Amino acid sequence: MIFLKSLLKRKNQKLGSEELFKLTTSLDKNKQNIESLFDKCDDFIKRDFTIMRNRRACLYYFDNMVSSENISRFILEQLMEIDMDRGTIKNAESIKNKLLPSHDVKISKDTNELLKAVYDGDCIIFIDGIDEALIVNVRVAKGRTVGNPLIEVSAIGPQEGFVEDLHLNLALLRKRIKTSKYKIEFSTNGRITKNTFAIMYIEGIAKNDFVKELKNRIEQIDTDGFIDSGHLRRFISDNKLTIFPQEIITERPDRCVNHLLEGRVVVMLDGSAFALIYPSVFIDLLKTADEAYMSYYMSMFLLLLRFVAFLISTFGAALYIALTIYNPGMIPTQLLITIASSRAGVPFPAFIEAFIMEFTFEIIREANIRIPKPIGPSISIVGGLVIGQSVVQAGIVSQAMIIVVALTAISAFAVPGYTTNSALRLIRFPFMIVASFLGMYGIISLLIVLLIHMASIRSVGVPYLSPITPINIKDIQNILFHGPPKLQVYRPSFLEPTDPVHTSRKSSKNTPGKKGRLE
Amino acid sequence: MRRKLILFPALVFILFTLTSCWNYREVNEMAIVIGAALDKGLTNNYMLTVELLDVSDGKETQVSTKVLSIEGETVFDAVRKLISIGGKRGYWGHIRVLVISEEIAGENITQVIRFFRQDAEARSDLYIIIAKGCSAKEILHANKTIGRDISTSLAQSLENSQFLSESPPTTLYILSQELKSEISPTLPVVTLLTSEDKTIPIISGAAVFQKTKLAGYLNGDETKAMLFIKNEIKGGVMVTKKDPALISLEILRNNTKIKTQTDGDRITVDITVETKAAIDEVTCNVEFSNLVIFDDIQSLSEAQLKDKLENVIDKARNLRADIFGFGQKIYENDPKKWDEIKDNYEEEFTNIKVNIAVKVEIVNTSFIYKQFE
Repeated sequence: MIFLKSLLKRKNQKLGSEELFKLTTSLDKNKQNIESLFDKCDDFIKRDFTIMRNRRACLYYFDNMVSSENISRFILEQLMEIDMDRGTIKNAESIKNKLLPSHDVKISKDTNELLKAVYDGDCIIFIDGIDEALIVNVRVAKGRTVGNPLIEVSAIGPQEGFVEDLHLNLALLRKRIKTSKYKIEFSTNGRITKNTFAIMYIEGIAKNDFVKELKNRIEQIDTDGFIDSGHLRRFISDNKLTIFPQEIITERPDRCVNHLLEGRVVVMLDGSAFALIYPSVFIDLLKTADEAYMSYYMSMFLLLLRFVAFLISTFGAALYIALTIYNPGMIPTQLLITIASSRAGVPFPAFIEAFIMEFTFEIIREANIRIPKPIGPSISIVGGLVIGQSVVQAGIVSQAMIIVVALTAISAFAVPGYTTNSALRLIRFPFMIVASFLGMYGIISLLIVLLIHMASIRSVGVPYLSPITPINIKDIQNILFHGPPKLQVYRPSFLEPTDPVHTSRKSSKNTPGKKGRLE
Repeated sequence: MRRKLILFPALVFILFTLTSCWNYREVNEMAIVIGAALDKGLTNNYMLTVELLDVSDGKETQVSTKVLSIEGETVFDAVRKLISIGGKRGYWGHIRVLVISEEIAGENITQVIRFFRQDAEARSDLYIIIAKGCSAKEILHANKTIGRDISTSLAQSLENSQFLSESPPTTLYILSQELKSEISPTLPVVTLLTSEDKTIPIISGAAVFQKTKLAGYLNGDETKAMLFIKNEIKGGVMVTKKDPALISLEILRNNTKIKTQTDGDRITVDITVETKAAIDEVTCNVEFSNLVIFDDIQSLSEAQLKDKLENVIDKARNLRADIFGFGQKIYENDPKKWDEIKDNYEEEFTNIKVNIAVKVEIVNTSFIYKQFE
């Protein structure tokens, strides 16, 4: 067993690291080394040239990731100039200082750094007689430009959404937070993909332990690579077996800013359009960016509405099953008559009927996501008309059940966040199963188990059910109830912010003077 | 980890063994009973008649009712024998009314209500009614007036009786409480009214029980007087005669206090009735701006109400049934005295001195000062 493990470990190491070489003063040696490394990488481009007619040099870059115009104008044109006035080349430093009019030039001996630079879209220059290489930034952003958020739509909020390019995303955030206290720390992980991570926080607000812990967690991952931030969260979440998401996953820069100001830490991954926000609690999953922009009453109402929707989608079908099978006495007479008459002639027991419909709905939903766009409408015809209507007409499923299933399904969508509502899709099935075996008793029992589980979850050490358990009235007021600024003075205390005050109490006093007139 | 591995199956096991009522039934597999009637059987002890909701399948909701009768040795025996007629097992969780025949009530009412009290399905908010002048079965077979079924309309008319106050709506729960205490129970009475070759059930008046046995009846007006004394008036009309006119007063609020005094062998009961009412109808022209007329009406209605209260107390004394709960009050105020007179209370009840003080206050006239000529 131990032998096998060590064997695996060795193999992994081999796959992960590249066979590095050492830079020498001989250009030919260096060229040979790097070219053997990138053998069969046809997009790795080599350009030999001579600096001021007397010094041979060679430039390497990856095609498609660099601006060819920049290479020609600011590197080759400058270095190949035959103007003797510029002095002689003694070392790399003098070239950087005198000959390269490019904004970002580095000198390095470290082959690792060189390789990283070339992967990121920089070009590297080897010069004969110098055992250092120049790294010149000639990157060009390729990919989507900043567009509308696709999933988290907001009516009156900013219409910018993150894209796959990390640097563009960072720019979206930096332009919103103009302080040196806003820190962005980079790190790299992933044996093969070598992804860049950015950990962002506001110094003096966010608790240092969160930043340290997250950095530590990312560093300790040893894997081939990360495909997306959704993939990354599997590695860094506290409880890896739970169904509940333990982070806010967002594509909105404004939402990131809001949470940074609360004292949270944002983690972004190059190549992913979604940011992860840690630590997050259960209530965060019910919140959207929109709330900050609406009137207090409306956002409170919407929060309540979403919570009710959460309850309906989790318990709706289960309650229907439990009440009709075990506790018909709890249904008002008139409603019971309606249910009984709609169920008359239905061949299946209520819970099998419920499972048929819930499953059918899940299948339609899944098909709707997978189907190519041009033939999409056919799904709604088949799903809505054929299944919904004819199943009732044929007497296979009762009308009451269709209503229950439709309501639970729609309610799940009212809960914001794709990760959250996909969690809800699953929770309701165990509830339906216990409802059919144990009735109300089963629902309550499973609810207790679920609550115990939720209370045991931590997100970067913060209890998942805070501020409700452990209870903190001030936080409940802050998070659950939106109110005028003077009621929103403090940052959530479960995030243990270094500076607890969010809004100065004075800020609510700058209202017009007596009788509403401006003085 | 090992502890968790042991705990989890243990908890799951406990979960399955702790369940109490275990009755998996689909709603469409049961016959929903909404009303029942009990008579003396012809060949067996009891005849149970039930009104069932008959749900037929189809695209539209079609609900009709069926009335079925069966005889049985006990009530529960008859309940289960219903399966042999209807096929489905009855569901008693939604039963609204239970009609009991005069004959059963005359023997002992507790013989039939024990089942409904003990069975898990039937609820204690079930209304109990006595059928007067006809069998209980006939009530459920009567013609419908408004609505889908007889039982619901009977229950509704009892629920709304607070605006009429001519019958005491009594649920199974109240009845069993009264049977336990020192009050003689009263139950609403239903009779059949035949008009235009239709028979229509009418709820009016009260059946007076001497403990568990039917002793006699009160008519609607007497029932109202009884409700005044029991402080159960929540509304209703009080008609005051003022020759030659009739004045209808709407009862807005009423508060009755009963105090008992024991002085040696003498027991005195003081009844104070305070009623607030509004003038709703006057059959002749009255100048309301003249405030003296209010005093007039008030004192007239006070006197007339007092008459009615005395009348109903006399009637209860004749039936030897303490329907007002004087005995209960005596027990509460002076338990020792109660122990003395308990065994002979029926006799004692007829000798209690009752003082009645009535105060009627007319609070408004709907802002009308002068009617048309």
